[in-house]
Amino acid sequence: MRKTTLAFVVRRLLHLVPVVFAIAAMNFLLIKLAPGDAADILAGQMGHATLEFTEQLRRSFGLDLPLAEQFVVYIERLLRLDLGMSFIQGVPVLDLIADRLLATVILMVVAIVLAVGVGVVLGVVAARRRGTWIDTVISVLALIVYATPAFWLGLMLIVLFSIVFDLLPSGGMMKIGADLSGFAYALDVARHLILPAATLGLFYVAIYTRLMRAAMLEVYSLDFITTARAKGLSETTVAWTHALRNALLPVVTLAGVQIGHLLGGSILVETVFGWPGLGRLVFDAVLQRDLNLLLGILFVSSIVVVIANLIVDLLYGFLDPRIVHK
Amino acid sequence: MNILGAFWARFRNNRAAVGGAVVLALVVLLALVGPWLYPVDPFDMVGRPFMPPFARFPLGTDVAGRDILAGIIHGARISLLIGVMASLAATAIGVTFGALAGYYGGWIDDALMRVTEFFLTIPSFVLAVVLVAIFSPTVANITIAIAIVSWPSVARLARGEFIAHRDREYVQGCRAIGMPDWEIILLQIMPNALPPVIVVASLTVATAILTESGLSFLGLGDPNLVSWGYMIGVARTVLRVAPWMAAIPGLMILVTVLAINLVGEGLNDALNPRLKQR
Amino acid sequence: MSAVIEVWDLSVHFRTTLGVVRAVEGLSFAIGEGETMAIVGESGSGKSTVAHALLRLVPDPPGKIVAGHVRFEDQNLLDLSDAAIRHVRGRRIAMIFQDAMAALNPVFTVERQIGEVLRLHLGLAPDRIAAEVVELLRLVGVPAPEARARQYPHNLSGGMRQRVMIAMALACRPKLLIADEPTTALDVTVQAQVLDLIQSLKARFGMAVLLITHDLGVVAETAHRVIVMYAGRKVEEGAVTDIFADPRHPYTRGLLEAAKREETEGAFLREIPGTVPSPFEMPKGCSFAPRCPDAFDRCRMEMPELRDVAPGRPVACFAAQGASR
Repeated sequence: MRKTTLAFVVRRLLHLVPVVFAIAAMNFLLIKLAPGDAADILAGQMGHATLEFTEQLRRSFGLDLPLAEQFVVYIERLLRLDLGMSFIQGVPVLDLIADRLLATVILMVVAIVLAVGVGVVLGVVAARRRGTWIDTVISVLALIVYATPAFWLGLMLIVLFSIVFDLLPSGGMMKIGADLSGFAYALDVARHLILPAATLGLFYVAIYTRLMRAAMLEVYSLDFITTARAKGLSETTVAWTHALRNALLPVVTLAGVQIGHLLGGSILVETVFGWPGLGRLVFDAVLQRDLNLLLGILFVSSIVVVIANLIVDLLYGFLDPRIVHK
Repeated sequence: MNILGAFWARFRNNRAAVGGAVVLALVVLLALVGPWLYPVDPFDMVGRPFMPPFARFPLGTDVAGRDILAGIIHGARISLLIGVMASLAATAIGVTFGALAGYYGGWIDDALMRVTEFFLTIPSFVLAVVLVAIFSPTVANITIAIAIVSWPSVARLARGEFIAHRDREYVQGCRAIGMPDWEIILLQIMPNALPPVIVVASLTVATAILTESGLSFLGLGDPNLVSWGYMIGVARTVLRVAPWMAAIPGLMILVTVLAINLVGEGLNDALNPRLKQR
Repeated sequence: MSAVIEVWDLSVHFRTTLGVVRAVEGLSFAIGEGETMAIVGESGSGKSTVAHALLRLVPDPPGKIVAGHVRFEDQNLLDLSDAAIRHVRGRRIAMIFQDAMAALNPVFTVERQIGEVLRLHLGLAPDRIAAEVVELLRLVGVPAPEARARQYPHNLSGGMRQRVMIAMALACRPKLLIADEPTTALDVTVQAQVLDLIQSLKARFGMAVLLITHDLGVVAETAHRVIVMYAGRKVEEGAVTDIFADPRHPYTRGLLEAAKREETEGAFLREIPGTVPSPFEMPKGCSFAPRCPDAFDRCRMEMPELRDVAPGRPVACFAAQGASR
């Protein structure tokens, strides 16, 4: 089992190469399609936007070389993890991203764990109490949340929990000015994490609840459920052990597929809550039309999604023993 | 009762779907006749800023003294326009990809599916933001950007449908009489694959509206037009003093998207009736 | 011979959107200690529903046990609370099913699934459970039991999966084993092995067996007594040797002739002409009358009651009873 898992991981990692290459190619294409290029921007910033100066800059950046050569140079730089410079902030793009990546990952992981956890529980409850008012309430709430724009939900939650009831902070990652460390620091971050993670996750709670409910109902009609009952197991055990483990599979699959979606959502949520992650960085970059930064983020976030998909695939193989790691 | 009649009967029985259809019709009505019944330019400063609703202006005024109701009406036009157009474009592209991949199989399927999978890997909203930021925010660009991130799901569905149909007897019969491929795809299989495609297309309108509102919230909307997302973005800084400025447009988005989802699911249930024995 | 289980007037109805289905109607029987009782019939006869009803496994909705009394170990199983019936399931009465691949949970190991019963009913500690599971697997003839215990259902062959189910059922040495079409999904060669296994274990543990099947060959080989069911009712009952030698009900005769034809001429001519009536359009009178070669007018007007045509040989047929036309 260990050997096949390793082989599986290696094969999937090899699979990554063409995908990453394609992402890089697309990025390159977008850079070239953008109106104006680095030379124009820099020249404009320096206040010397004359034709000759811009041409000079262009030559020094290698922007006058044929496209194929430029692409090779681009790939070489990517391999060296050089994502270019943010012309607006004057700092390498990679540094900016590295600064913020962790905050976003924390937010996303908490949001997804919350979403799957709550969604699975609500889905099982709704399936068990099928047809009762509990089921109806859960299903209706799920429908409504699914139709709610996340950024608006975040704002409304701020109104409720920060303004009306002064319970939770309305933004940021930690209390400004307070110089906390260790456990107190973690607690403070956690307090600031609650609303953004809840906002980001709620949309997916709605999705996973409905999916889990449907999956549970399907599993309930399968034969091994009757066997479990015939063995004398209580309905509760049947639901939370036998049925759940099987119904979980489609939910985990979907969660994996939606990681990219989640990343997109984090842009909006981080903006609303001022959470210092990649999403906020995107917003700032949009505001300042910092194209290099935007494209760098696009590249990095695509890689993150690819790696996350790999992890989910492994997790799925762990959950469903029928998947033979061929 | 013919198929269409049976379908209608099932849809009519679904109260949620009918409710959604009614609400959606109201929103469409608002968008169509609103500007005519309430001819206020959403960019005009009509009064003092921060006026609350139900006073001089039905929904009050925003931070710059603009009429919120006018904003809502015009926002409806934009959201629906972009939503429907983006969905149509995404469906057109997606069905083409899916039909060709599903019908021909083999290397064509492989190649087309690689492209589709690739687009599904890129975080869709990030890509939309990048596209609109690069090519400047206009209604056309926004619509195209949303279409680009939405077509892969349609393609996957269409491919599944065409794979299911390509080995059916009626298709084999058509091939046996020498019918050209394009005719089989377009005139024979497509009408059968259409119902689930219609459902996905309608649900895509909902996600398109959500995406568009997200883009304009971030400031990537068309600067010449007021949309619901833009209104929420503007109201963000004054959340403490005037929460209704953000609440109202958000509620409109919620209600519209919910209505579309209910209709979409109603269509789905009406097209695939499952015998509910339990 | 005292009865292990006695059933009186069992009736199970299903509420569907198209009407009420009387899956089982007024069924009574008893199984003695160490006896193998078979219930035979085509699909739709209600035989499987009977098996599920004894352990109250009939899904409700849409099914409902509307009448009856099931006496087992001085209790009426139909009156027991949910907790009490769970105490009986898997411990005093165990059930095995037709398709072991579908009846076993695909995501749990063999050890986990058998161990569940041991933990629940016998309160065994985890280390004891592992050893006991291996012993049980050995008992039912699974080779390399230590390795198999840690495998998943899809790693095993059909025959082995059925053995696992049997092991699971016997874990607590129940008094009654209900086998619902245990060999139908298996290859012919494996069928014989599984039947032999059930027979030997039955003798070893002094169990009674209720065998549900549509296969008369299986009945002939393993059962002492047989009940023939048609459209939810018992139409004939008796010792297997008597029934096979001298079937009284036209339906039973039809089944036996069809089985003999199958042996000599192959499966092609197996069926009795006609079909089982739709549960929503039950004919007035005897349910078998439309297909019966011996039917006369009274058969189509009145439902025949079960009457002994010989000691311990009830038959529900006017013709067999020699009744007036």
